[in-house]
Amino acid sequence: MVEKLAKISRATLLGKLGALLALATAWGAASADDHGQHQHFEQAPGYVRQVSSYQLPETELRRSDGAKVSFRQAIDDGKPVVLNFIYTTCTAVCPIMSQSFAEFRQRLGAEGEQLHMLSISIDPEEDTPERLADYASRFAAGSQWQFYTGSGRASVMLQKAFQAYFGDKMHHRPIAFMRAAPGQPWVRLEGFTTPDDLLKEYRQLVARR
Amino acid sequence: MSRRRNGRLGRWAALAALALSASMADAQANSDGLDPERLRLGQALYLDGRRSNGQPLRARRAGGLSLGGGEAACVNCHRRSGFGGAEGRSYIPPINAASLLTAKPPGSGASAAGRPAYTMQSLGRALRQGIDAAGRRLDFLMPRYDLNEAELAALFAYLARLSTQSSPGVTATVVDFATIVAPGMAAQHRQAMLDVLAACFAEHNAGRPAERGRRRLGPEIGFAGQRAWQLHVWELHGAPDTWEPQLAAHARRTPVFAVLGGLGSGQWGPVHNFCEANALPCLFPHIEVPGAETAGFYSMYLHKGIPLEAAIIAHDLGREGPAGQRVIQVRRAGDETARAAAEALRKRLSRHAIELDERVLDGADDAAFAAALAEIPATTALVLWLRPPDLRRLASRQPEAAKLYLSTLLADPESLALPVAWKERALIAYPYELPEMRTRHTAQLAAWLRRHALAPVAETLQADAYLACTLLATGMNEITGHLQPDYLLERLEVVIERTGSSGHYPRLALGAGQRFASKNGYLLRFADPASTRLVPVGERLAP
Repeated sequence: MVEKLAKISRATLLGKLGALLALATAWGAASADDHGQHQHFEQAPGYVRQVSSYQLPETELRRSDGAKVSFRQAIDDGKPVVLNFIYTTCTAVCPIMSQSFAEFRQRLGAEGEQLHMLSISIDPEEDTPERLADYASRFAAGSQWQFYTGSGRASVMLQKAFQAYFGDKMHHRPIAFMRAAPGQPWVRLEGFTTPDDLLKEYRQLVARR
Repeated sequence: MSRRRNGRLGRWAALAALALSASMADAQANSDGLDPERLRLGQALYLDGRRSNGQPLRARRAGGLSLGGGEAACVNCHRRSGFGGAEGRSYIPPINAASLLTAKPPGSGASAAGRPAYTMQSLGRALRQGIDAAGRRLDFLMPRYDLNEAELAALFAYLARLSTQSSPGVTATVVDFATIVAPGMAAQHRQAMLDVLAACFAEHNAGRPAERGRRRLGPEIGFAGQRAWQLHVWELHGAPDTWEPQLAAHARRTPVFAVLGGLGSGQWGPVHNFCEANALPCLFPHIEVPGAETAGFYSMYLHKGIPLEAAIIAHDLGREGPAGQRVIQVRRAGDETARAAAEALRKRLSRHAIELDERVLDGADDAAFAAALAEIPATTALVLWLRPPDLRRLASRQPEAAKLYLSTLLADPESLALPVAWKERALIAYPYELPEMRTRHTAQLAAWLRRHALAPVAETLQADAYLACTLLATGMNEITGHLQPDYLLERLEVVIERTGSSGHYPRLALGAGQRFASKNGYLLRFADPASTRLVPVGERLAP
């Protein structure tokens, strides 16, 4: 069920201005190449926000510490949930999503103590609990951010339930899901979300709770 | 099947084959009169994200994300070949010499306007400020890098060389491949593999069936745009520690673009090491133990071999937890496959804290066998890493252990005449798709063998050889004219999951850096003690 559909397109609005600024910076920065932090940055390309209710199935998953867990119990622990799908040998898309998750969690600070973050592998045959644990440490994920694998069937079932199944793993897209509490609808953020995007969306979500 | 190559060309190609990681920069630089130090720095930036002072490369991305070191290395997205790739709707453009240094005419490239060829200056602007050679902003995915002038020059030199080298074994009309046969292989098996590869190559060289008739009518249309494949056989002799120099000698005599298939058992390490050290793709051998436990870059395997079987057995044992479980494994001395299996099981079971004893069967008589299987407590799980000649001796014994585990690769359970009392409790680690699930594939392979007048002598071996050749064809088709070893491997990483051919395996898939295509298997038991039919115990596993 779609309650609201809002296209966030700062990039299109600011794009031309950004390009001009960038050009100006480039012209003016011939001798300032090593001072990149002062240079212009364009915005992330924006994302599509959608509020949806998903029928989530029950299935068994394995956490990166090897524990077998019920998916429903894992997400219905009463806490706000932020979730995505990743795989550890993904080269371009997942590292950005994971880094954004990590940075988001860090900026959230004490505000995020009640938060539960989940990353579910879409390549469960390759992504053993051990590989996921390595991946988690790459992004300094703490105990609030758990990584899950499972059977191929379980992974596909969950991707389909979240309407995030695109065939083989290399067709996947960056999507983040948030939910304030069990029984609440999900906010689906499709596209590359920056840590600030996630912060803004998360704060809106928990404020409304 | 073998074809001598021109000596001068051979020497040149051997030099190209030797151009590898550490020495790659030197060899390339020397042949071009370039500064090897500069290329080495370019390579360190591109592959490892390491700066000239040894510090991690730093980069930033929109939204305040910063990245460093290996995470910031170009290779992550643009890949070793520099040909780029695609993930979902994110497309990573090629940035190797052919793309970077060529102007894109209007209507091509990232925008309708095209773009000029990159210069060092415009590359600097792209990397530091995210502005491409036409003055447009680069995609969000592309980070902004902190690079000094020397680093920029080094990276430019590296990119200007990337994927420009002609590959060994490639001429305008022919691509040479080799297959490797380890010593001690049954002559019938060796011939079966070579026959399948030869028939598959002949099929490739004849072109598509519809084309063959046309070519008969007009042979002058020839192989336009399509290189013929030529197969060489690299036979190995003697002890494994002499294989690497033997392989080097083969590669000098007949430089090849890739090694396809191959036949061996428990010792493939020297082949694996040779392929890695010489940047030579070695694709899908029929062996029992991969040449390395973890993935390299140049060696691709159909499956993990006997360590996968050990993992399936450990998974089953681990389900019940360590309490009171005792496991005894028996292997024959000198059987490298069995040794690798025992080692893999030991590692796996230690994670479950399950107690494991190992017995090594040495000596060929009944007494030695009886001693190895003596005093097995009734509550024990017995894992036999043994082949049929040993297993046949079970006929004279009553099983004592509660559970018996067997290996498919060693025991060949589908043709094993095991006594009924043993069959009743046997559990078999099976690294293939279930027999009844692969009937369609088996029938297709049988038809293909018949068409090529080949007898079905060793089903799994022939299936593996045919699969290897089919996957090669898919990969070669993907890279079309860009015959670069790294690019072939990168495309195979992507397309294997999408091909319909999975041979004897439940599912094949790779990804960036993944080198074992099938990760699945089953635990099976005999359907009934009177038959050799195997049925699964539980679901398919990727342990």
